Amino acid sequence: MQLLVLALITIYTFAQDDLLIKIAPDISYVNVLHHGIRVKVMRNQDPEHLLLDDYSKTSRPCPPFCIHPIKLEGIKTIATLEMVKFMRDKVNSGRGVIVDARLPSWYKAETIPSAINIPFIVFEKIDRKKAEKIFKLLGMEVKNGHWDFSHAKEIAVFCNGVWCDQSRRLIKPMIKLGYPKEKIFWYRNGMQGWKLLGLTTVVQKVNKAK
Amino acid sequence: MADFGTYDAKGWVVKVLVSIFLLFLIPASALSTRELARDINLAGKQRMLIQRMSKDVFMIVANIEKERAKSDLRKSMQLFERRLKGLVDGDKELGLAPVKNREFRAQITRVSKLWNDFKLCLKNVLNNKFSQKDMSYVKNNNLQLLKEMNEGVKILVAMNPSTKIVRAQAINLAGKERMLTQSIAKNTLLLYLDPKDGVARQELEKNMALFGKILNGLIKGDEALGLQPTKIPWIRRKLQKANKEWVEFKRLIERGDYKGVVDYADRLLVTMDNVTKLYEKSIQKEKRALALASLVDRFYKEKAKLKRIINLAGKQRMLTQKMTKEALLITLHIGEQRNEAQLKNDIELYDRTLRGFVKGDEELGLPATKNLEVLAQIKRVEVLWEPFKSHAHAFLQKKEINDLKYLLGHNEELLKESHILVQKFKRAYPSEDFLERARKEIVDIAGRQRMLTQKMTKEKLLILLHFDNVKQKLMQTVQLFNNSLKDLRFGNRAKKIIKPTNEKVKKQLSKVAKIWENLKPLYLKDKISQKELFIIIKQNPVLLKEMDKAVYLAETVVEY
Amino acid sequence: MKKFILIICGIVVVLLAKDYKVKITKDLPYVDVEVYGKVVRIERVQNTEHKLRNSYIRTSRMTPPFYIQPFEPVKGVETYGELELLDFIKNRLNFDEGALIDARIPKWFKMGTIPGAVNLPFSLFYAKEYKDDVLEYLGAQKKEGKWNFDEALTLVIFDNGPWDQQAVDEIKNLVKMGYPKEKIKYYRGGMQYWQILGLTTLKDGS
Repeated sequence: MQLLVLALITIYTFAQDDLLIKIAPDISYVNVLHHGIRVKVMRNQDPEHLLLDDYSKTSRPCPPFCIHPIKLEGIKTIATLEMVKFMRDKVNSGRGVIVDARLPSWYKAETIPSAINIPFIVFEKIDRKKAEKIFKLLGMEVKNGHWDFSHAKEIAVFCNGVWCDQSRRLIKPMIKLGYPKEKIFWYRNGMQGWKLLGLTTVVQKVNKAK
Repeated sequence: MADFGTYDAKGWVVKVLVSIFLLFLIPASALSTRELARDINLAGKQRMLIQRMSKDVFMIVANIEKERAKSDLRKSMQLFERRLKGLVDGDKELGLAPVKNREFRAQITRVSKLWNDFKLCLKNVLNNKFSQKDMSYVKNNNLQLLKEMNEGVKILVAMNPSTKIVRAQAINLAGKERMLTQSIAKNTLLLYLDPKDGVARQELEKNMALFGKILNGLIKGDEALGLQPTKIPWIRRKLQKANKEWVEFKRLIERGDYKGVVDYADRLLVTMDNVTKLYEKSIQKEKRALALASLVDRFYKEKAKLKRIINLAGKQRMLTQKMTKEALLITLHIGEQRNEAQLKNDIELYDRTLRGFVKGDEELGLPATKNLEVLAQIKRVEVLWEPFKSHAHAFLQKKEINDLKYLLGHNEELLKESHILVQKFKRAYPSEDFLERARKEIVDIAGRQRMLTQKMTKEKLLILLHFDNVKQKLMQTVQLFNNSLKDLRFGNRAKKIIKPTNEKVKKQLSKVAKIWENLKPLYLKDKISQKELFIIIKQNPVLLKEMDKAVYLAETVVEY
Repeated sequence: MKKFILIICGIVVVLLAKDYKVKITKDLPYVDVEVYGKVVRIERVQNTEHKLRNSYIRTSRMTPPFYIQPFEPVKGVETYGELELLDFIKNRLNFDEGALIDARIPKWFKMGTIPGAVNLPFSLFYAKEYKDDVLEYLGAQKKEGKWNFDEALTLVIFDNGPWDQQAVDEIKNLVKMGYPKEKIKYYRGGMQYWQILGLTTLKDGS
């Protein structure tokens, strides 16, 4: 049994060194669960791989798709490396959740592994009852009629990119309703930034229409 | 001379005297560009203050806002004197750096002398103890004081001659406008005190004409003044503001609203001061950009020199094999004339390069090495090279088998020490550039390929000459070349070699691969025909050349 | 008749005036920057179908050295986004109250840079004879053998993007030499994000 464990550890350590194109010097990949399925989050290993889809578009009309400042509502802005570490340290242990703030159609089409979907429109005209439901799913507790966020999870929110407004439209009302600022992180570069680094996404398989 | 024992006393004294003399010759300006620009600006402002103070005197005499003028005069006098001192001794608060230039200091002394007399009159005015004599003194001498101060400014400007940037003239003239606003106010007051003052009227007209001309030139350009139209939006906006104020100013002067004129002069002064500052900042920026660009240029020229050294050291390795190969070809009577000429050149090149490392060689682009470790290794190479060289020369002359045997027996040792020399050079001039380091593996492997092309031919020829125990060596060389080429073309995860994405690199490597495709079987074949031998001999230099191009590309393309 | 002509002219002027479909923010269509005495307009590519098609859409460069940088690679050095950089250019760079530094090697700089940037390759900081000169140009002063940074410029430093190290390397070296952290800003997006947002790039020749 010990030998097996040793072998596994050895394989694991060497496996981390295996990839040519890593995320960080000490991170080659991270395993997460997306709807119960194991996903290996790593970078695309083909040096010739290009991002050719709509995420390579440069000029969405502004307004409404304007460039956003780097700070948002007094919360911490994070980048891709922090997202990966968040996955590894917080999501896997249940202390954190990655939140895709876009509409469900976008979420289903392609999203960051392990992300849950809280569309921004849900919070735009929400009532306390519904908010309480959602917050409870995020770990909030109700004690004597008060909302207690001390065990609420940390959330990393993202949408499409630096020109996308939906994260803000989700985060602002959440803060207004009391979600602690220290527990919210904004992944500003969003889906575009994630894909520009060739990281794994979860894509919905299109069923062949009959 | 007193006896200082064995010292050369006289010479010693002379040396000291010479150094002291030289100290005086060294231009005494340790000011940075920024400090000097600020000093010039503030020295320029002194001119404006002289006119302003004169204007204040006349305001007091004419009883126009007497108290305000007195307070302003007091402040201006303090500031003027403090700046004069600061230009010579420095003044941290004012942002003045001391100017050590003797000509400038002499000029400031002159200004100070005039100022001291001027100051007495101003003091009398402040104490209400002034007489007509004081007023005349101010009236008659303010321009002289202005002139001397202007000379001082000129000296500072000459200390740091502006580049051909046209905006230098714009700064100068915009600065002058400041002085003119106060001059105009001063002359207006003189006319108020004595409407028949012909001199003041003339001066006023001159001032106004000049102010208008300069302002127009700053906005639209004026060839005679050496001004180009301003294209920078924020400067143009400021100038348009000044223009509006100028129109209003003129109206006040024509109306004879003396109080209005004095107030507005200050307003226009501030605007022109801001304009001057904007021009200055624009020039500062450009100067800095140019200075940085030339610094970066120098740095990379030096870097290129170092790269050349390592390049040539690398080539030496390949030459050891090439010379041996040529000797073998001569022995086989293949292309004798050509190969003899080549061998002669290669010996000369190896020799010259080796000497160039030590003493420098301008034509080869080699500076003399001072690094001790490198020099020690060169000595070791020389120990092997000298006999190798003489045997090679002897072989060229007499074609004797003993000389050939020497070359065959010692070329690999020479190769090894030449290789170590490359390493020593790399350690002496390390590249901190992590981008270069990241590509180092690829460049090293590609570089080695060049040497292998010559080695495998040498080994093939040895086999043809029935030398023993070479077959396995040849197999290894061919295998190494083949696998390395594959790694370079397609990447090798285990060896951490990434495949190229750059089109030029990919094309060049496939070119090499095509030539290799035809040559490889010939190298490996046991018995080859005469025709096939000639193919090897003809294509081998081509393979070398194309591989060399690939190395160059690997080193220089921006994106691999 | 005169009035009619004037109205027509007015309409023509209004029609010819550039209508920005793709602005930077809803109130900011462009930013003018002074480059060597001339004015360059930084604006976005107006074609809404335009896609980036150059090496900046490559997703997988070799590691090392092109690892993903953290959001704030040097603690105490603020990270800037595009808007913060443009504000810096508009209000500080244009008035010589700061410098925009392209930390990449010259070949990259010549291929295209942010208008207003000067090239200060990170490699210079490894050469003893050069790094002192560089500090002086940035406004630092050597007094009694020590560097004084009171007059030093505020710098915004960038390179190719979040996967490039050149800017971070330069920032680390500046900090090592004593440059105050508050005077250094890191534009993390670099040329990649600048171009993927369709912003104006200046090629060599200017």
